Amino acid sequence: MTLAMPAPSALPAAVWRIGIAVTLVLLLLAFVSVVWTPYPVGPVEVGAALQPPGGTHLFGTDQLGRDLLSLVMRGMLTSFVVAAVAVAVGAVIGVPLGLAAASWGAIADWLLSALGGYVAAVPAFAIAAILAARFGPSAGTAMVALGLSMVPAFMASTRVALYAGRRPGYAVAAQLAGALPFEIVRRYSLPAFTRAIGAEMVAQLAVGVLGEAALSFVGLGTAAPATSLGLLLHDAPLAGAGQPMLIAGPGLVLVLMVLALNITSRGLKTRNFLADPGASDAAA
Amino acid sequence: MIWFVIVRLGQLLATVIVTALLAYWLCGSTPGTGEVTGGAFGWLGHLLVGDFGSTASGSIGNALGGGLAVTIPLVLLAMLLAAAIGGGVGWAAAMRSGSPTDRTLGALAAIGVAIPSFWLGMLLVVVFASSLHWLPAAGFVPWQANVLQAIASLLLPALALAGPAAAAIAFDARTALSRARLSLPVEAAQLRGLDAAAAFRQHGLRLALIELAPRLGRQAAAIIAGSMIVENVFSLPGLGRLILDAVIAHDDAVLRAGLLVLVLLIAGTVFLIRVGAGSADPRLTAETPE
Repeated sequence: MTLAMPAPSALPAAVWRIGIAVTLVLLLLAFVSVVWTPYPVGPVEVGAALQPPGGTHLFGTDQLGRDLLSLVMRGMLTSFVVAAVAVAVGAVIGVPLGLAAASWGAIADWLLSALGGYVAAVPAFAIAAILAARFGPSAGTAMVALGLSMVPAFMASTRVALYAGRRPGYAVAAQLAGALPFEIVRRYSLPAFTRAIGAEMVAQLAVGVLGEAALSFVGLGTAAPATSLGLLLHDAPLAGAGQPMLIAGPGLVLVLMVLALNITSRGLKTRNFLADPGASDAAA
Repeated sequence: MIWFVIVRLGQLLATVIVTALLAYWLCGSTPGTGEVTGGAFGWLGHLLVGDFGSTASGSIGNALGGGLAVTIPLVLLAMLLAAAIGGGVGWAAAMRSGSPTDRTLGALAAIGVAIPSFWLGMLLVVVFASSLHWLPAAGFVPWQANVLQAIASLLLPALALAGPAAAAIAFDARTALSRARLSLPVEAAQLRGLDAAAAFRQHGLRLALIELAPRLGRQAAAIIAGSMIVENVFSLPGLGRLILDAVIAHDDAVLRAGLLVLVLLIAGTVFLIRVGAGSADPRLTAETPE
């Protein structure tokens, strides 16, 4: 539409920076857990079970006496790794299919859109159920299931990014100024395209984090010796006797991860002055 | 319009057939459990006449019916709640776009979409069942036993499913409505002499609905898929339980039937939403395929 629009909620720069900072801190915490956690994650210490937060255990302990903060850090690592592999699977399949749909003519476009539309109707839960029945549930089956279900999103955003980046005004201006086609692609089309796909990858990372938690919660993902936020929530006692932090802790961390990733992604999407001048701060 | 419906119906049919074939081939076939003659197409033929086969534990069709008697009311309730809450919040924000109210609602919606529905369900259990004892924490009272109690046992899970979906709908509705308010058709109607409110009602709403339809479809699909997870928080004997039990028991006949019904449920709902919204779109009354 050509009318002056209320730039649909352009993200304030400060919010974007906070989102990126929180994402980085959470990533750091998750990867630190590879070499160090406040307490070892393995050994069960029933005597110390269900301690309240504070004291020697900052988040308290779970029903097996394990330090909740350490478990949550490990769980975040699982979330990030499973989601990242899923995003890689989704992007490696989805982006080339989107490129093919956009450049191989109408029939390929129609066929691939139909394929994308089909996969969109099949939830990751269904793919994960089939894989778990075949190979037994694991972080690996969750990665593949989540990755496959991300393919339509990557196909769609690839097509949109290509069509949007094809002939923007500044590219036409550059051409009139004498720039070669190769140079236009390198200087204008490619950066806008990479940025759009990057934003989609971060957005799908959030989807993957949520999906991983849901799948391991119902026993279709990460399984027992390993830890994940979904597994922690699955094991948390619901009835009053338990310790509320066991439900609140992993859940709040999940919300924070997804929120930070979503903010980062939306910043990349809307604060893109090259592809979408309307969303920049100057126009708002 | 008729072409639009035919094309969509074709897509729905293709989705179901492809899923049936994939489910048949991918879910292996343990010999002896509900095996039908004639391979994948034989199975499809049996499905067409409503025969899902049977396993050691009884008729698969009956088991599916029992699961759907929980899942379908649950997702319908959740969709209604999500549409009402999300639409209302989106409307409130769009009518005050740019105001502090708008920004606050936007921030709340951004947090809402980040909340996993199954975790929201756990919180609801802790607050409304374990602490306040207003509603049952888990389990399902069958419809034939007590309708009111059946609805009561679906209320918290429906709310849990509706929460994140309502936040997403609020976000999209806000964008669609504030865009429609400033759209050319609404401006043209105002230039013809209608006041702003009437112009928006008569021309803007329809535009917003058309823009919103695909996103509503996506949220409906998310609610259905989410119900497979949320059922577990509340120990509801729905379709999700059926599928997960089949995975654990390696019961391929039940698994593929359950997955087929799940995909049919999602594709069918998206079909109905698309066709419903399509009837609001005057461009589709033109007699051409989309």
